[in-house]
Order: sequence, then C-alpha cells, then structure tokens
Amino acid sequence: MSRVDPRVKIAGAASLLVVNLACKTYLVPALIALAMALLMTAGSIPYRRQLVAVAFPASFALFAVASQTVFAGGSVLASIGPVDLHREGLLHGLYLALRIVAGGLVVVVLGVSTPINRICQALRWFRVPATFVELTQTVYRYLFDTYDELSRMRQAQRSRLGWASARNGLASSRMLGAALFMRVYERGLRSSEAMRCRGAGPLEGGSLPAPGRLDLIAGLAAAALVAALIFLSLGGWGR
Amino acid sequence: MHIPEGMLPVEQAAAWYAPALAVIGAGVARLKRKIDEAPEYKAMLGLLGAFVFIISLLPVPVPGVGTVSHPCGTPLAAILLGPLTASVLGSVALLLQSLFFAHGGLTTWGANIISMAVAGSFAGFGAFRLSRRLGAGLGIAAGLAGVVGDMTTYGVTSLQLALGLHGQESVLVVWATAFASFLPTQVPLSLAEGLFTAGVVVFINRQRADILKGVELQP
Repeated sequence: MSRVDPRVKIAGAASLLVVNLACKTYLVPALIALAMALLMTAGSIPYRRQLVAVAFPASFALFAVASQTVFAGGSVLASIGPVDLHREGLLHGLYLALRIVAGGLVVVVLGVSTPINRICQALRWFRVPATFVELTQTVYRYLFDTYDELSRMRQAQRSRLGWASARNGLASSRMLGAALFMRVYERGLRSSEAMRCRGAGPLEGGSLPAPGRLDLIAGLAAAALVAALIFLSLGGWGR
Repeated sequence: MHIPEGMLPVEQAAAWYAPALAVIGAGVARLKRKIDEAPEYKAMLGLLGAFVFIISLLPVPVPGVGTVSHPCGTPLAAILLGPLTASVLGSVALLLQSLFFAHGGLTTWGANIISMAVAGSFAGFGAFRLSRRLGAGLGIAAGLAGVVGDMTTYGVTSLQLALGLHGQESVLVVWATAFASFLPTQVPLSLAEGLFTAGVVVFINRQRADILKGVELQP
C-alpha cells in the first residue's frame, strides 16, 4: 500500500468516505470496513495498532446507538423510566455505528500507509494552497521534538512530586504550558534566524512521478469497489 | 471533542465545510502575506502549531471529578497569537490528528474546525478582549477566555451532533440533552481550562513579558 501513488489513495479514500455517508444501507459500511480490515492485515499492521485505531470511533459508535435508540423514534422496544427505547432507532443507531467504524478505518488506512510528505505533495497537486501545505509540513516536523520536550519537562516535574495531588498538578500543568510556550517561542526565533541566514524560500516537497502500473491497478480496484458499493446500494441490498 | 468520521450525514458534513473553508481561507491569505514579507516566520508558525497540537494533549487534573482531561488549547492560542492564526493552526492540528491519531475525521473536518478551531478561538478571544476592556486583570481575563472558549466549543459540538442525530425529536431538545449530558464533566473541565489558561498567561507575563508584546494580540 505504501508504494501506491498518494493521489490515488487520497482520491480512493475520498470516494469511499462519500459513498460510506451517501449510501444508506448496512451492507455498504460493512463491506468498506471488511475491505479496510483486509488491507490492514495484508499490510502487516499489528492487530493492537488496528484496535487502538478503532477505539476512538468505537466510543462514538456507542454514543450513536444510544442517542438514536432514544431520539430517532419508531415502535417502542422498552422503557427505562420516562425514556422510551425505539426499535427503528436502535437499527438506525447500529447503521450509524457501522458507518463510523468503516469511515474511521478508511482514514486509518490512508494515514498509516502514506507518509506526511507524500500526502502534502498530493495536496499540492490537488491545488490546496501552498501556505497551508507548508504549514502542515512544518507543524508535523516540529511535533515530535516539541512532544519530547514536553515529556522531559513533565518527567522532571513528576520526579519533584509536582503531580502528587490535584492542586499541585494544576499548578504544574500551568507552569508546564507556559514553559513549553516560552521554549517553543525561543526555538522558533532561532530557527527563523537560521532560515533567514541561509536565504530560505518555500519548502520544496519535490514533484510526484507519473502514476505507474501499480497505481493504475490500485486506482481500478478502488473504482471497482466504489462502483460495486453504489450498485449494491441502488439495488436495495442490505437495507 | 472531536466528531469522528461517519457521524454526520453527507449534506451536513459538506455544509460545515463552507464556513470552515471561508475562515481558514481568510487566515491562510493573511499568513501568506506575512510569510511573503518574512519567510522565516514559517518556522515560528510551525513551532506554534506544534504547541497548539501538544497543548490539546496536555493532561490537566479536573477538580471534583478526580480524573485528568485535556484542554481545548484554542482559547490560549487565540490570546497569544490572535483568533484567525489560532484557527488556522487549529485546523492543521485537527487534520494531523484525524490522519495519524484517528481523532476526528476527514468528512467531519469542517465541522470540527468550526467547533474547536474557530468557535473556541473567537469566543475565547472575545471574552478576553471584552473583560480586559471592562478592566479585568490579565489572569481573570485569560481565565474567562478559557472557560468561555471551552464551553462554546462544547455548545457548538452539541449543536452539530443534535443537527445530525435529532431524528424525530426537535433539534433544541436533542441539543439541550447532549449539552446537559456533557455538563457534569465539562463544567469542571472548563474551570480547569480557565485556571490553566490564566496560569499560563500570567506565568509568561511574569517571566517573559517581552514575548507577550512580541506575539500578536489583535484579530
């Protein structure tokens, strides 16, 4: 998957996400989720990583089931005090839950199979403004350094019992936020000065090569999957 | 709170993109002018964007609940950088969070930009400016910004969820229910965010007042 052209992956993912939202059948999100799970397994992404990736969408999926069972209406399945639980609402909630998990998996597959520089190259090709793309690249570049710095400072605070209670934890978090901002600001000034000295211009991501045979196969497979899903949806399968 | 991929109907997901792109477009155009004047400003923006990203992951103890949560970070960023810049940096953080941390989504990116990056920044900054004009001290004004920005973010997120999930109930009832269900955790969390924002701004002002003069305080 990582060798496939990022433009093909972004276009394929966008099509799947739109189909996932637009086709209102159980079968479509179920098939998308299955296809993405197979892709992740074929890409040797550890199951633990896959589970972590779906944990956040899954918590919202539960919220969707609960809210729809109460609010979406239909025949009453059961009552808890004054609150009625509806059968059609429950079914709609389950459909939403499937849609959330399927959509989450599509984004995860795109994210884990495509490095940020390739995503940014593709975004430029799709005419996303250069300023935004460069900003995204620069933020990503500094993200891990900044996080390491935060972790080091927090560890130092913990070793001085800075988080021993909620009260001094709050004081420590304020100091941590302020110290991080000041360090980031100073490092930003130094980096800016260094860039000015070497006459830095726009970030050059390099242009993408023309799509190859693998990209063509991946594009055709994605198009076939999208077409099949639309066909199944129009045919009323899995309603 | 990030709305995950697949949560909103397709037409609503598309509709939230329109205002989000308008605000981000205006912010990017403004940043482009600045970068054209001084290309080295990019490094500063990148680091501040990483700060906004990281700050939204910073653990803050929630009083009364006995747990730890995370600030939105956008009210603080808006005070330090201006709401438009904070909105753009927030949108970049949301994009990276959805792609690499499965927080949020791509079709819900527009909705998340509006609730977290735009509403949190502008409401927080508005509360800060208004309270400063009314004579509040720096700490009180920053604290209010944190509380207002946080509650506004959750109010808008609840509205987005209510519009998407109201079913046969009225939007207002579902919005009130969703917002009320967040309150037990959200009130203490917003108070914690207020204390955190006030503490950070006061600490910076005490240690490095020159930084607060250097960063942008105008929208």
